[in-house]
Amino acid sequence: MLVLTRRTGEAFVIGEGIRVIVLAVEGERVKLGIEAPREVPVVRSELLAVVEAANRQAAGTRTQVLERLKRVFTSTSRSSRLPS
Amino acid sequence: MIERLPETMTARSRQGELIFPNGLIGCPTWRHFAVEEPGDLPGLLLLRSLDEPGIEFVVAPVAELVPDFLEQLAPNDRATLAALGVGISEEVELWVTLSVHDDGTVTANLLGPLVLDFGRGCGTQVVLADSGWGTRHPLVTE
Repeated sequence: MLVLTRRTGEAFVIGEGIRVIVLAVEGERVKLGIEAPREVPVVRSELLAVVEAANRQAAGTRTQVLERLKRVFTSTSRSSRLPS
Repeated sequence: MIERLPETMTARSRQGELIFPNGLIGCPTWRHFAVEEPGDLPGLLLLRSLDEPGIEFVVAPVAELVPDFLEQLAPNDRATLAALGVGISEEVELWVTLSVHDDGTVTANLLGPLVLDFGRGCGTQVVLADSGWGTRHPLVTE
């Protein structure tokens, strides 16, 4: 892992199109500005883990989802609802 | 409160294949999907992986689940989607994967929706980090 030390207002560059600027350091929080091409997604890493987990969960429930939805929409019961 | 599948859900034929050049988030090898329509649940689609047997998603159009979804997004997220053609090209649509849980709840992943370009036959999964949506937005509850 490359480790860099930067002060507020200083930046570093990744490749040819990504520039990361240290905007502020407030206690344990560092505020970064990121300039990147629009096609380069910039996402907090913890969100990637959450979405990956959701993908893996959804990938294995096709039959159950369809059966559940069929039950809901063919039932005359009003007990199951789609909240908006 | 919606109590049934919206009647406005269209049954336009979407069958074919979609390529996700970067795969799905956290699953970069899931790149090629067959698009199928579940006959008895019009408006939904099935994405069946052509790369890995057993990987299948039930997906629904966001516009039918949360009609003002785009308007509710943070400007940054809205710009991300616009750059991919959502709201600009009629052939680019926002869809979400559905999951069912042990208690019977069906949820939609609105944090990480799928941008599907039916015109070009490709897709991208995005993370809408700034708008407050989660991966388990409840659609059907007990």
